[in-house]
Amino acid sequence: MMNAEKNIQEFINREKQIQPNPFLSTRIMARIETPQVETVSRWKPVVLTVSLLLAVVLGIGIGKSYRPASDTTTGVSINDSDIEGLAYFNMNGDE
Amino acid sequence: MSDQQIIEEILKGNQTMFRLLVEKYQKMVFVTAIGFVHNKEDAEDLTQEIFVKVWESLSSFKGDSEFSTWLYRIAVNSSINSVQKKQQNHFIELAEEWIQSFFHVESGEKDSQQLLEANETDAAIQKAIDSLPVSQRTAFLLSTYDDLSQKQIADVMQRSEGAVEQLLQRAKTNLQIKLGSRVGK
Repeated sequence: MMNAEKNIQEFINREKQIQPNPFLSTRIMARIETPQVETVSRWKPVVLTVSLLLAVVLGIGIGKSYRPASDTTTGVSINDSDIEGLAYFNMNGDE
Repeated sequence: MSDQQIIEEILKGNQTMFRLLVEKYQKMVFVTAIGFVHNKEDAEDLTQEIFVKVWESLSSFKGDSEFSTWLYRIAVNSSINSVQKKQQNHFIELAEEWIQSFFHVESGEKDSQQLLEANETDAAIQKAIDSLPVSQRTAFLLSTYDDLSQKQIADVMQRSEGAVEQLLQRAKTNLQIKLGSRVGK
C-alpha cells in the first residue's frame, strides 16, 4: 500500500514539474485580441439552419412540381405477319 | 495591485491589464489542467480555453469570493468538460498511445524492459485517477496537484469541509484498491 502511495506521489510530482510554453501568455492574449473565430461560430448554426430549411423547401417544391407522364400517347399495334406475309417472299407466277 | 483593482481596470476597457492576470495565474491553471489531461499540449490548449472563458465572463465576477477561487471553478469545470469530450474520441487516443509506447520502447536510451514497466505503472496510475468519480477526482487533484487546503477545496467545489474530507478519503481508498495489486508490490 505504501509503495502505491509513493508511486502516485512520484507520478504527480513528475506531472507538476512540467512547465508550460514560455509564450503561453502571449498566445492567450493574441487569442483574446482576435475574437473573429467567435463571430464565425455564432453564424455557423444560423447558416446551417437556413441551408437545411432551403433544402427542405426546395425538396417539397420539386416534389410538388412532378407530373406523372400521361397515357395519351397512341400505341400502334403492328402485326408483322400482316405486313410481310410469307407469300410476299414466295412470289412466283402462281399469284 | 490587487486582483480586484486589475479586474476593475479591465472592465473599464484597459484590455492589456488582462495580461497581468494571465501571467499571475497561468501556472496555477496549467497545473490544474495537466492533472485532468496528463499531457502538456492538451493542458496548454485547455489553459488558453479557460482564460478565454474568464475573459468572456469577467463582468459576471461579483467579488463575493476570491478571484482565484472563481478561476479554479472555471478551470475545474472546463477541464471536466474537456475530459468528457476527449473520452468521445477514445479510439483515436488509443491509437496515439499505441504509437507513443511503440516509439518509447524502440528508443533504446534506457533499458527497454525497465521503461516499459515504468510506462505501465504511470499508465495504471493515470487510469486509476481518471476512473475516480468526478467529485472525488476533483477534490483529489486540487489537493495533490494544486496543494489546496480542505477549506479552499470546499470553497471551489461549493461543499462543506466535511464533505471534502470524505471525498479525499474515498479517493485515496479507491486509488489504493485500484492500484494495490498493480503498483503496490
